[in-house]
Amino acid sequence: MSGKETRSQGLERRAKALFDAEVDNLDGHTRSRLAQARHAALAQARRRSFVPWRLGPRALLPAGAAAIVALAVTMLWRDPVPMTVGPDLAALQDLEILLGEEELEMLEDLEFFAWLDEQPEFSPPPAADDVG
Amino acid sequence: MRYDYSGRLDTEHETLERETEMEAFLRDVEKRAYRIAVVSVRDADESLDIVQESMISLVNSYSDRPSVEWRPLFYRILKNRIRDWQRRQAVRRRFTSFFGSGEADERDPIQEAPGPAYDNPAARLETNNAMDALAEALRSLPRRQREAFTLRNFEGMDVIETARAMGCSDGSVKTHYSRAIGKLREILGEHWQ
Repeated sequence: MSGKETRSQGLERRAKALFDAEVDNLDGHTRSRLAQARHAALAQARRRSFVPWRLGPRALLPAGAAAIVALAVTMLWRDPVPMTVGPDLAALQDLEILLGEEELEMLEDLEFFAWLDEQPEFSPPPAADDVG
Repeated sequence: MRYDYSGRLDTEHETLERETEMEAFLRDVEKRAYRIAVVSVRDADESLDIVQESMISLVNSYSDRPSVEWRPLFYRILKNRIRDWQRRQAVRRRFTSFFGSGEADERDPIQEAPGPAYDNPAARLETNNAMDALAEALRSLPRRQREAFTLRNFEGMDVIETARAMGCSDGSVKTHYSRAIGKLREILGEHWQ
């Protein structure tokens, strides 16, 4: 081994030791930020990889079964067996009308309609009999 | 059904194992990668960003690759990020000098970079000075020589891994590394040899 090689190896050893010391003595704040960076990278990958079909066709079986059940329920609900309208069903229909979206909105605006009713310009015109 | 269910569990288990392996890999390289970035970039925050971007890129694009390939791939990404940052800085410097703003020159990134947490201030000073001298000498090297030295010496990669990370032949790595050593000896002087 030549002298030149030995000197080069000395430089390599010293450079490596210095670098290792710098790494070993990294301050807590930087270590913490690096850990955060690592977690962020892994979390992003986790979000990206959460796609069921990437797990294989078997992973889709529960979702497929649920879809079939939902479809069957919907079909039965929309196309019920014909039957006579009895008092129970009529009550249900009333309830459906009462809980319709528009009616719910109207209930929410009940105060507004009450106020509107009190306003003279929106009051119904007086009957001819009232004109004195 | 049992087969399907256990098969799904196996896939999930494999995914979890893969993620654990990737996390261990990143934990192993993150501090060294950060120091390598600081040597080149001389800015703590920018170095952290570069390391994080490199991690994300590796995880997103190469998680499926065999884990033995991760290290050269990661350092290749890191090297490219550092190079991109340096190019952007060069453009910015040209732009600011054209408009006569000296703001960029007023900051001293080395002073801003967090130092090692030594108990002994004298040892810290000596190590800081030596590391500053080494970092300064490294920055004066041609890019390929600096990369070869950083990967071979700091990161302890063998010639084949370094060649993969640098995207060149084994022979080129040997040449760049040998020239880097020669140049560093010239710059750092006898007391470093």
